[in-house]
Amino acid sequence: MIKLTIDGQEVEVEPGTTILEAARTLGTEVPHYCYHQDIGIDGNCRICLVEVNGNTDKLTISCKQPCGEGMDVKTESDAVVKARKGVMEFLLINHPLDCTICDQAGECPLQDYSYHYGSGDSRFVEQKRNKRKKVEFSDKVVFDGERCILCTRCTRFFEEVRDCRPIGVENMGGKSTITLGPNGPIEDPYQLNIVDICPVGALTSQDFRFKQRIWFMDFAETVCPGCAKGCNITAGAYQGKLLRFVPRRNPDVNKSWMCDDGRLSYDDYNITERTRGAKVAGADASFEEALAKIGELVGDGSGVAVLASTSDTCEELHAIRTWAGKVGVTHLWHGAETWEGDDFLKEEDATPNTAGAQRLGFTPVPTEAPSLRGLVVAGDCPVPPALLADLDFLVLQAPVAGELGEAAMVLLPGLTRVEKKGTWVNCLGHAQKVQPALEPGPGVREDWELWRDLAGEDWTTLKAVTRAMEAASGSSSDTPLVASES
Amino acid sequence: MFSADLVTELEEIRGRFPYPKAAMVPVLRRVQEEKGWLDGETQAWVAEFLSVESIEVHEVVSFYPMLYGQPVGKHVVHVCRTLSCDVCGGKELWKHLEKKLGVGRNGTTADGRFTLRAAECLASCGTAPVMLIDNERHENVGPADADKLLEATS
Amino acid sequence: MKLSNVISARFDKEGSTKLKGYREDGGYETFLKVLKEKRDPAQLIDEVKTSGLRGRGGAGFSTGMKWSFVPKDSPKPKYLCVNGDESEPGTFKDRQILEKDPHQLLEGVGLASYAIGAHTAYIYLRCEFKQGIATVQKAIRKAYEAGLFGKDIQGSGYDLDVHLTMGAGAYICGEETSLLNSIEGVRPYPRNKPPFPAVEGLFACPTIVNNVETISNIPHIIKNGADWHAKLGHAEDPGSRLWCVSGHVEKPGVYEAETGFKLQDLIDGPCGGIRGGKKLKAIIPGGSSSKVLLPDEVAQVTMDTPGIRAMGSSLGSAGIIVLDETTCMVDAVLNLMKFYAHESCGQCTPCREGTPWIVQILERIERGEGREVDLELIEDLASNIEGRTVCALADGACWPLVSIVKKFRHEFLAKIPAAARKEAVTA
Repeated sequence: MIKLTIDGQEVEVEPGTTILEAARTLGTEVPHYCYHQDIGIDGNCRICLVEVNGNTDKLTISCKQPCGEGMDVKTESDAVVKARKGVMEFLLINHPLDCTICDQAGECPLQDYSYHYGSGDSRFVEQKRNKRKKVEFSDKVVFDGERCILCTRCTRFFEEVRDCRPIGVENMGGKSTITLGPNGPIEDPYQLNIVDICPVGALTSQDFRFKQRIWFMDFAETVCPGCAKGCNITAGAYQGKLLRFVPRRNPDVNKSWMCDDGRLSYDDYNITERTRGAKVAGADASFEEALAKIGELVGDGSGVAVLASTSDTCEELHAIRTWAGKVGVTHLWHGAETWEGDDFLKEEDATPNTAGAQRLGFTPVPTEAPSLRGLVVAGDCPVPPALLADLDFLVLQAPVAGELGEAAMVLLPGLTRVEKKGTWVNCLGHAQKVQPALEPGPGVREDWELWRDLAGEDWTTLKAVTRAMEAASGSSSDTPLVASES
Repeated sequence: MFSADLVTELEEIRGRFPYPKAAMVPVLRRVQEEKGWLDGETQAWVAEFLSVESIEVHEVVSFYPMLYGQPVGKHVVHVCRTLSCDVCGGKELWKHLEKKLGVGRNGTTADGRFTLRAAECLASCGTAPVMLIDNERHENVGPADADKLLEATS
Repeated sequence: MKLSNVISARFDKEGSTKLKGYREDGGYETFLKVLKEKRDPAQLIDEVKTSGLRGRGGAGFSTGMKWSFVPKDSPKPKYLCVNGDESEPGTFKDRQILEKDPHQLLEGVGLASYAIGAHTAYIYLRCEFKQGIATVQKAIRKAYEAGLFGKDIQGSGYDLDVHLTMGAGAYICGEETSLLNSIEGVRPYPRNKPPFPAVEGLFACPTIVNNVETISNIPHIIKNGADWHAKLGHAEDPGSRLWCVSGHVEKPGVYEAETGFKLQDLIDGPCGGIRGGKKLKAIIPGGSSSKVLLPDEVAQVTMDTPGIRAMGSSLGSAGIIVLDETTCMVDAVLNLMKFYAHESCGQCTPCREGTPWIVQILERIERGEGREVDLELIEDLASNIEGRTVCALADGACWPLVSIVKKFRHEFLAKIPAAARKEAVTA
């Protein structure tokens, strides 16, 4: 271990830890632009300069400099603050300062740091430099050369994370700019990550551009519902409509990244028409009537199967299986949806909780399914037509009934993937917390409440379901069903 | 795209390095001698020759002043503009050439014969002012000398 | 003023570039002796260290010390890179060596490579050195043909390949880590240090980058011994250097002399004084990236590291730019700042943004639209650039800038309209 002092506080770190990382452990965030935890260190922006051992002639970049035994680091000394103000000034002289129309506004380190280290009045009375603006890097990403501060996070992302070179830096000195390569638009299916990591508004998403000022939006820290990887995301909505998904860092799952398909899938959940209230045999019914009807249809459970969606949360699935166990339904199957996966983050399994369903005892629909009297579909999932062949009855609980709704004896509403609260277990086995990004509106109950009522349990909160699930399944650290509190 | 002899020569250059990419600048210079300037097709050829992406070639070409990513005239004239030349007749030489060739900085004469460019210090400060014509160094160049040199350049 | 002739001894000989002539003058004997005797490389490094040789490229770091940083136990190949990107304004000495005595350099390459355990050396020349490139390329070929390079040199068991490579007109490539990136075929941005090249340099292997003149000193030091070199010139900064004098002197050129002489003597003696009997105004003594000296400072200064440091400047690359009384110093510094702004690689913020800004301010002053506060602004901007960047290019821009603005403030003020002077603004 290496012992050093940062701003007068002693700290011990592993050898190889940089000053910036060491400062973080003390809760000190050294300003930075080019440094990004999940791509290689470059050291070009110079805003993270700190003073080491009193050397004010030459300051040290904290993002790259490893801690040394006995180092005395100052992150806010007079020399450091002056240098930082200097860098801010240099970055801003040729910046268009068009924050009023910039999508990055509100989540822009350039704005944030200039609040702390900027000067109220400009000493720059010269002509600003003109660079290319509104350059389409692809149908997903637009580039503004004047806003760019040349931190090269974007080029390094492709080079180091994606092993490809669709963009690069051209020219020299003050004329340097990021440019699209000779092979045309960026095609990489992870390209929208460069919009996130761009510390300014130089790279914007064609999809999100000019849609909404972020300070008017509501955010939920949740998990991408697009596939079994469960990339951690922040879902952003405005007035009940999802506007974007952006990745949220989780070093064990997705680092700082997510695939474009998952990211752009947010709009799938902006549904305009959905099932509200319950129906029995096509006629509006109260929830109590609907649930009573289900009990009557299922009877002793023989010849009845449950087909649960793998986008249902573990808590929902626990409630379903509790009910199934009580009424003697032994076929606990889970649905499946696929899309094209890749070798980075995107899984072929296009649902977020297959692992959770399997841990809770749900199995894939057998290739030769037994003939059924009745089928209970719990949650949004495709139903193999073979299962529907000789049914006496179908119970369907889903946010959107679709054609199948016509055939359902009992129809119940449900939550979409972005309205759920609970736990999903991803393909790596991590139990992750899911938070609702949207409200379902009237006539829709929490899915777990429906199944609880059917099962006749007295769980009053989601927490109670979680506890019951843990008790019943022995959720262990090896195969967790519950997200650890972090 | 290139003669077998040239390709052999380029292969020799490439062979000097443990990685083909390291031959970037010498290969580009040699190819530029042949083609005059480095158009997209040539850059793509070099990219393939060095097993790199085209953008990597472009990044390098667009960086170096002596690699031409834009068309130039048949002959490229560089006049040193840095201090020692500047104070020893460089300014006058530059003005003379601008007038004589009828072009400004980076301009190419209408007949396509000459491109006039400014160069930074050419390491001949003791014999200022200095100019290059197609990379051939000329020292102590007064306006009259420049005229003769241009005339002798066909 | 006594001139010397260690490095330049053979410059004016007929056929000085030819291998035959070089060998007749005893060339390569030292290299072959070292190989034959299987001299201990560590002992050669010590020899160079004790000789007091400092790098001739500009930074003036102890060459032997630099060599000693190469890890002995590294399993990776080691490289020697010779920096012949000579482009510091006012400097034109390496070119003389390349064009006039290439084998002296190549013998140095052989010795230095052997000392640091390198089996591959790259000689990096700027592409504008057409003649130098041709001469060195031919010399390399001749050396190979004579069995001086290649596999198992003269049965010694030592292999050495020497290759030529080139830059393409970017000043930054003279910065040693930029040079490494240039050789690697990527944008030649300087690297953040540490790691230093001696530990992680070319192709991430231990690498020594030395200037052409530095390496050309090595055969002489190994041949004549460290003590011989240590006694040349100034005791604390010994050696015989090539001094490049340009600008307003009667006889500009490269003069070799041992360190420790008086600058005034070089100007008045070999250089024949100021051109046309004019008066001296200023000298930038160590390539453009050094602080300017006024005539009274020139009269006192001795050309050695301690002597020039006492005057607040540096020897740099020994490019002595002489400016007479007709020179407008605002013009001069603008010329240099345009150079630095043009040559800034653009990698890091203070240099990329700061150097063009300073050019804009100086141009405004030139146009008669300056304000007195601009002079303070320039100094403050320089303080936000110097010591804040990846490499020393920006430091090198600030040194002449700030010293010229300070020492020639009156010339700047003379271009500033009365209404923009401080008295007028505060009144």
